[in-house]
Amino acid sequence: MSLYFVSIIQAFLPLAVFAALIFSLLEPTSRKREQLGSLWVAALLIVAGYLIYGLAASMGIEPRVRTLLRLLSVSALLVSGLLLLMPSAKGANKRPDKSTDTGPTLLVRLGIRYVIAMLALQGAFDVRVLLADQSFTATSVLNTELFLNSAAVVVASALMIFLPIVIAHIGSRLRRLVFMVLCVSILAFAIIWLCEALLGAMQMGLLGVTSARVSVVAKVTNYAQFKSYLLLALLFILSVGFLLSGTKRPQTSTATTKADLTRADCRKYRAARLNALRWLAGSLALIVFSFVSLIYQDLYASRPPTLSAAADAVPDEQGEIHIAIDAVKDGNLHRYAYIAEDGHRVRFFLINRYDEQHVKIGVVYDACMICGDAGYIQKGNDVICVACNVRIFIPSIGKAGGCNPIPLQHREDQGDIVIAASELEHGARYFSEVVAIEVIDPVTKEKLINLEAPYQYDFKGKTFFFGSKESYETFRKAPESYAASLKAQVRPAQGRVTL
Amino acid sequence: MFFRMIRRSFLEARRRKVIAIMTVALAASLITTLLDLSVDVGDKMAKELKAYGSNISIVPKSESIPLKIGGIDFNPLKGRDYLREKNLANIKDIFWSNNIVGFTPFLQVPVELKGQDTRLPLIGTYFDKSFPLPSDELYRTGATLTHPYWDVSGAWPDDESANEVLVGKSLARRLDLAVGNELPLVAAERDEESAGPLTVTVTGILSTGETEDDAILAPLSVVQGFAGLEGKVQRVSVSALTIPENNLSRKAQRDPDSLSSSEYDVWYCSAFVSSIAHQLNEALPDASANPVWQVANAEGAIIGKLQVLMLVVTLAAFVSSAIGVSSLINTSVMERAAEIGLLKALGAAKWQILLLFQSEAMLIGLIGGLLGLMVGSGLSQIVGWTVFGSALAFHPIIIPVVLLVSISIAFVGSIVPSRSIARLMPVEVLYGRK
Repeated sequence: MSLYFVSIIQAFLPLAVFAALIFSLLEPTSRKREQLGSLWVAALLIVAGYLIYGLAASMGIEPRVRTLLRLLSVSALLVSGLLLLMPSAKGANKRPDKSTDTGPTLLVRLGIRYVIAMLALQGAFDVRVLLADQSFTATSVLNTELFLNSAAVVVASALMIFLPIVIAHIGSRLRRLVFMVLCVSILAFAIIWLCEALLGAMQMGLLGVTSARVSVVAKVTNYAQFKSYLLLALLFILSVGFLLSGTKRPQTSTATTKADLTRADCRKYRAARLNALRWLAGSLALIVFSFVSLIYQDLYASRPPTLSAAADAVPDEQGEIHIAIDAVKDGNLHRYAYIAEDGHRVRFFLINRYDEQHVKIGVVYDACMICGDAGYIQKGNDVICVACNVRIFIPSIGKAGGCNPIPLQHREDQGDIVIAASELEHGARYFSEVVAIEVIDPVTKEKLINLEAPYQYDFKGKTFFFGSKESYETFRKAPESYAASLKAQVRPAQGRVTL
Repeated sequence: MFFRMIRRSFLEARRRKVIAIMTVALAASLITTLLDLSVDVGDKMAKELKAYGSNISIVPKSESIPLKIGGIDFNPLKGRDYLREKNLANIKDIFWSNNIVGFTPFLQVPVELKGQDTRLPLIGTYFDKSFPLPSDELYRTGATLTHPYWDVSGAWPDDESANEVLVGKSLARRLDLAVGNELPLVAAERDEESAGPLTVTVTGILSTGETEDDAILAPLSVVQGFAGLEGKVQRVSVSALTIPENNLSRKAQRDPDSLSSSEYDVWYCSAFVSSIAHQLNEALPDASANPVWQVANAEGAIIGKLQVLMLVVTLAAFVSSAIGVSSLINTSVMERAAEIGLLKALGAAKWQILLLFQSEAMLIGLIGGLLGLMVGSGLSQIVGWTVFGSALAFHPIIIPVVLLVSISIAFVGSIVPSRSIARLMPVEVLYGRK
């Protein structure tokens, strides 16, 4: 599934769904005209959004523009909330007399156009944000990738055009349900977009950063990744509601039971049923197709490569780790992990830089000075940096520079690679992964779990954990008296440092 | 019911249908041929640009000055300016030095066989030369590393030997040489004092598919000594592990000065072939390093220029065959007016009748497209052999594209006839007064 397909769905699903719900509140007579008009407005604003992104990116004001668009979209949500008050929406399933139906008022029509316009603008902008680093085609000469990407764009656009039409048809029978669905989606998206605007405002420094604000934004952003699924679920509920509501008996008939119907009425009833089932099948197909492509992207295609399992490296009494060269000379990447005293999980790997006849083992940390501790994976004959996708020239592993893994001090001894645990302690700086281990408060000698210790203090490159504020303060006043045996380990922090 | 009607109507007026199918098939075969050529080159280019390994060619700066008039290179310094061999160690001294797999210098001089008057190129290079670096005493580099596709039957020469050479495949055939033969070489420019006669032994026959097939390849130091060009090389080919080009690297390629400082840092610290070439330029004085995109420079240039022409031809084929199909369907609508009238009288909606005719048209498009695909794939192979001298790979993407185009030919062709269906009045046609 192409990323282009998924990005277009993600960016334009709010537009499609809100348009569909609003259309289904309109009378069928005026719906078609409104849909056509809205299509033109949407097309125009999509082009505008596309251009605005280009302009904003070149001027470096992209976050500002995005925040502004979020606020505009929230205003569009407010307008769609007001549209719920329009007469045809209120009169649930009751149809007004056709002769008195003069179509929506100018105000309502302007409101619909405004909602469509703002959501289309934001959708186009979001698509370009999502696809900023993608190249549509590597070269201007026609090629397979170009065709596949074009097909993805065409199919996704068609999906986004058909979805509102089909859902509007289904929804027009279920005004009350549509009313509720629209309320839920307005509420959900207002919260999500307001939080995104809030985040943007904090990033630009328009609003102060407070812990309450950050906490709200973080929570909402965490759930916001499911927003497309929420919309699809609401549409699915609509479709199910349509199925349950059944097809109305022919209205021309005055008969109350099926037996009283004339044969012509029966046939009309069957035709209507068949027609309704076709609409239902269409809507379900669109919803399921969108859902499957989204879930495929989220669960499978966008998953980062995983590191191979690391064997535990446990030092012996001399504080050294011995690894037999014979066990690691097969040319594969052999990963090990050592748990440092402060709980950092220090990964390193061994690999034979040449062939089995010329054994030269590279011993390195599973981290890079530039890219941090994302690690390296082996794919076929290549060793690849997960963070930046660079292929590492295997004979150069063990040398510093470029995106090469950071070299690890070691020596060879009787067919073993010997690594001092103290050396690996230094390497704790390069890694951010911390596992829970038991540590000892240097002041009270109390046993603690490092992740739960309320206080910690860095002294001479070593992290100490404390169970209480008192022992922390005591240690801070005279650290030497508690950590006197420690030899200096101060070194500049390199790579990514997290504490 | 619908499918039964389609089947019945499709089997009617078979001769006309066959003509319509042939019309679509002709256009489809033309489009297939053009598309196959274009996609073949396009895919190769995309693969090259997305590869994780690239080649960089380093030449003296004076040579990279374009002085071409009418396609002929008039640069008077070409082949007269040299790079210094001792600077080559700088290549392994750049930021991305670990990603440089190897490098191979080249020095080409003209020679003659003693007693004959034909000029032959003698190329000096590294085969698998020990090149100790401060960071790696055991480093070896040469053509075995940078040109893995070079195929030698026999043995590679020893870089330290004074008289072992490889002979290119074409040259060996022409001069009837085999492994073990001895060649007496003299300089082509006889006034050059330093170039004394040299007797070399053939250790292997080289096939590369490139210009080296017509040359003699010797260790660099031998050629330098022979031509009196000690310590000099003409061209260096560098093989590097890179990451595929993206928008940032394309922007940098257009103009490195256009990058903002943070963009420049990201670019410089990413293993793009362009940033590695940039660093090589910084490391080697008076040299110009450029990525070599073989397909992009050769076949890509041809197809790139022809693409507009192809598009016009495709469009013309599309329109003309659509018009042909249109007139054929129009006739069939006229013939079947009574049937349409009956359908209308029985209460068929307009779209249902349209669907019948459109489906028929699409069926014609589908069959025509399939036929055209088969013919076109054969044609494109012939064109491929005559233009590029090689067979084209099969590209599955062409199947849906061509089928889609053929169906839309039939679809577009049936738009005009469909409009006349709408105008048919049941009363008129059934009464027979139309």
